[in-house]
Amino acid sequence: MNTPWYDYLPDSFDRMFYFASSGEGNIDKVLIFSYLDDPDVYTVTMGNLRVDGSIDVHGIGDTGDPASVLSTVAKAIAFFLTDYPEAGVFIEGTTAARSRLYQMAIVRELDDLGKYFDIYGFDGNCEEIFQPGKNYRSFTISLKK
Amino acid sequence: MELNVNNGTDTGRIHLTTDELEKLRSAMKKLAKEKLDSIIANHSPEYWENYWNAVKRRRMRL
Repeated sequence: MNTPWYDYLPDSFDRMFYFASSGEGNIDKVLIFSYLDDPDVYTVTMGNLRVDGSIDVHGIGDTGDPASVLSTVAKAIAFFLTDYPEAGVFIEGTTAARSRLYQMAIVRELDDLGKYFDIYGFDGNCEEIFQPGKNYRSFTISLKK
Repeated sequence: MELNVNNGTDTGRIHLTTDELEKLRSAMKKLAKEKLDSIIANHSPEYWENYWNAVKRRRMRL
């Protein structure tokens, strides 16, 4: 994975990471993993940090390169799963368009991601190993066994 | 709230004050809960039943 510079800070409850997607050293993105009603499945939420300290989760005013941002999220997932090796990270976009964006990013990074992660797609009925070209509603990423 | 970020460290680590970090953490937790609630509400009980059954089947295979 080719990722820009970032930093992270472990949290004693949820796991929170913050990093600069632009690579210029200013906090830009904040990312948090939260437990999803199962002992080992977590969701991930990412937000843009505004200059006034508030958080934007809708990407309004986002000037970061989407590919590098998603690559950085993947690296944060890798670090998270290193600490929680039995966990899965559930990924679903807040909109259908965003879910498609995630799917496109996964396809693009699949060769790299596949070395470290098992990626599953869920279509609403069944879960399977992620197949490029198929549409899924959500994804679950876990460490490769 | 303006965050005074010190990035002039040898390690390149970003440093926040304890207060700033706590505010950031609190804001992110709130957003994460809102997103979680939205994701859960976005799908039918049948969707979630299918999902969790799929997760359990996968784990039993491993």
